Amino acid sequence: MFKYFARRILISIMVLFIISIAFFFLIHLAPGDPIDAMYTNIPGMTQEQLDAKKAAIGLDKPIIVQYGIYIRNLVLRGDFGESIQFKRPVLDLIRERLWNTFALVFAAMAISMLLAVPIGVTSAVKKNSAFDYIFTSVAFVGLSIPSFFFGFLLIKLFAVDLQILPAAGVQTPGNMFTGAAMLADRLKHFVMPVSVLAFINMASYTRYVRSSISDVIKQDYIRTARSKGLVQRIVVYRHALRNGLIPIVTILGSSLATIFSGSLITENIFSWPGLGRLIYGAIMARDYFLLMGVNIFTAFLVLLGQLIADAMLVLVDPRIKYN
Amino acid sequence: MRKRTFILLSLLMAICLVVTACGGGANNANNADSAAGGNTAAGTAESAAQPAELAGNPAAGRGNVFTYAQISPPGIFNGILFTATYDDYICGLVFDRLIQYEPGTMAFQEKMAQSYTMDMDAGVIEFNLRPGIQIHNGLGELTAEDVAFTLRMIFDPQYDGTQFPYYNNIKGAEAFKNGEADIIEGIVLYTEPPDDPLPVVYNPAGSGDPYKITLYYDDMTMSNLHTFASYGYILPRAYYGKANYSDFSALNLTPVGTGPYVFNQYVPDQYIELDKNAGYWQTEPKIDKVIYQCISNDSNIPSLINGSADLAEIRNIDEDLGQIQGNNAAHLNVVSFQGSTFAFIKFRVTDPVMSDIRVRQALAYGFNRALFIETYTGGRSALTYAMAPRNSPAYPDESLFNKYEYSPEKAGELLDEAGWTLGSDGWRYKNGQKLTVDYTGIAENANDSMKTAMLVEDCKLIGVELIPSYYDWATYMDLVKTNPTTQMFGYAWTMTPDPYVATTLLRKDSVNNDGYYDNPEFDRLVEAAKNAKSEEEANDLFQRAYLLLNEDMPILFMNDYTNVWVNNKRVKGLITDTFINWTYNIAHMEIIQ
Repeated sequence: MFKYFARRILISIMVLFIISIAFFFLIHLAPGDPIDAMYTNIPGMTQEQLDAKKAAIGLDKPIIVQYGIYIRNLVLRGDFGESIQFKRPVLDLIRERLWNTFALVFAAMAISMLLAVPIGVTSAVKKNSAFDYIFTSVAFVGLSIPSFFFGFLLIKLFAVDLQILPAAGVQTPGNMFTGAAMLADRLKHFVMPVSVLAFINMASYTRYVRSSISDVIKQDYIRTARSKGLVQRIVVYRHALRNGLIPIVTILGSSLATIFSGSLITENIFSWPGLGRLIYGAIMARDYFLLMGVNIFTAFLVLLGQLIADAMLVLVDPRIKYN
Repeated sequence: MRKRTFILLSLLMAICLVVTACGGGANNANNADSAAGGNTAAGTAESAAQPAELAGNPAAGRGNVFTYAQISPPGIFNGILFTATYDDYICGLVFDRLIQYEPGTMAFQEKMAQSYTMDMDAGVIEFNLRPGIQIHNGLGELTAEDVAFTLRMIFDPQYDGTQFPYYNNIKGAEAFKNGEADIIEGIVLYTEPPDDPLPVVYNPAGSGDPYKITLYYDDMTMSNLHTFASYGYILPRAYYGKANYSDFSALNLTPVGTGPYVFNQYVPDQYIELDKNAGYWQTEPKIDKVIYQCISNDSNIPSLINGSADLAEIRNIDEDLGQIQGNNAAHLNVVSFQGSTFAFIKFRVTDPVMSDIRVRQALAYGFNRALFIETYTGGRSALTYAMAPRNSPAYPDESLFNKYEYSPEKAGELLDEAGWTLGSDGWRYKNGQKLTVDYTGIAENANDSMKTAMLVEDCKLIGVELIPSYYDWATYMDLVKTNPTTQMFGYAWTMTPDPYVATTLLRKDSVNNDGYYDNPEFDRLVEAAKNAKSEEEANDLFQRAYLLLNEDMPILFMNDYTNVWVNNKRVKGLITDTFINWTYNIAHMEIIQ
């Protein structure tokens, strides 16, 4: 088991390395140049100044050399470089925003799982019942509604018409509250963005849980459990769910990436101070170093998520032994 | 089975409808409640005293805090390093200038300088600062040495801001930057050198005046004075005077100046909080706190409506104004005024097709610009014909321009003359080559995409096939600079009160001359205007340059922009004008309590 995970970690590092090469070249292949985009329209700018600015961040060197410098600084010194727009270390910019994104993503993930498992299980057990139809419909709405539309709908309803929830941000600006009032203020800001992300994820999770449990419930050992005279609740939640959850755990690990990218739109709609807004701005400005930093960081998180998912499979699936 | 499904789905839809209806009902009830609630709450405490602005105003409870909602600034809060307008807003609160523009007239106005003189012939500008201007946090008094220090930092070899070109004709600036000189000979202070002197000339005549500074220029133009009014923030040496440059730029997130507001804190992508500078030299500001709230463009209207913001700028004018006309927006006030931006279309004049002046003029006649502007801005902005604001003295009398009023007939005649004749298929041909025009546009710019859509249709009528393609800003910049197939492209430019600045769009050696325009006469006129000894002479030369462009048509001017701001009615004293920020009158603004 230890050997298996050591090998997995080594492979992950290699994958990360390959990703860094792919990202670096893709980003530089995109037309546009950060210095030209940022400075050309500043009155009085001269070509010499533009060239000097490009040289200062190494853009005048061949791309292979640029990559070499980048990866050397990263590996040897853990230095992600400095953002071109913000003129600050990339790592600082990520650190300032990371927890806001984590809070949003994990709250959404937890809530959607907490709702999706009972709904999915009940739908599977009571197939074609009123409950199943209603929640299948709700799931289709969730799957098909674009997050920006749903977000604006909520803003219109709760921030503009009813005026009970704030439209933007993670807290009321300016250190207005302390203690319980601060917590209440934060929670109020969480409601809409978390609902948007959670609803959309819940929809797909519900479908996964439903189909997975439906398969399991047809298995012989479930029939055996039933014929032993076990009550329905125990059959479903002890025997069926444990096996039915195995594919869900795998999906959870890989859906981390989807949620991170899904949070990009949600963050922009709700002015959420997270990585999504940071990366959006970085793409638009061709902020190479920031873009690399955030991408490598996200790739790292996704690989980590999959590693954790694999480890969790051991817990839920006794048949799995890593050797 | 099927019937049951149908019933269930109907039920679901019915539930949805009920929920939506409830939402609407609650909405109305809530409005009534809040209006009534506002009255009763005030009724108990100060029923007679409550001003009309606060009745039903959702911001009434927010206290003496002014909240400005805008997209997140990059966070380079340094008067000589910032490049984004959003950072400039913070700089405008924290720092002060020596001189500024007077709203309306664009004339120079003393600020921290109590007087200034400019000698065009001798190439000298002299400032006399007001005594007693205090730096934030009790760091002492601002003197002429701080002005010299600010310039010295701009001339530092490591300086990576963008302001150096505006000051580089001060004597010795280039030499100091290149490491060829230890002293900037064009900066003169009138005190004994301190223990840690700046690399400038101290006390030439022996007279002690810590408030006076003289600047000697190699190349004296009006632009030199404009620089101090449009940039010109002064950084106190007592705070920024660290040993080396990297320490200096490390202070970007904690600015200290002499302005009306003291920087309190910056929470990235959330807000910037500033407290009033009670000892501000002009007057004690009336508003306790200014908060710059970082929000996306989509949230500014909701924030104004629910009272969490006091001022925001409107981008999608028609759409957004529609939103705030409802009865839940009675506390809002719309201000519109002439902005400093104009939109234009450029021709790549080196292109074989576009190099023919008749083709360029034909396209000007063939595009119904008046209709576009009416459609796009709802009559809120007008056609413009030169690269100066229409209220500027450099802008010629409009009757002197050929207005190229919409005339497909004239366009057709010009194209015929140029040898592009109509084929049987409705398109024009010359030597078997079809007249197609590649247009490059900016994807996220609504003005540009609507403009192009109408342009395509208008061009069809004169037999020209316009092929538009849209890109994001960075790609667009790359293409217009380097792509040889681009023949026409459009964007917008922000003007400054100095008319010379915008001429960079067409001067031969400028990086902004992406149409590759090369007209020695135009270059001569604008250089002469820059070096003119009087404003009248300069304006006359600029006007001649603009009329030349009007004939030569390397650029087709579209409309100038109207700025639309929305503020909460509890805010009083906001001054708006083309070249000034909302921070201009902040020390005198107040919030009705």
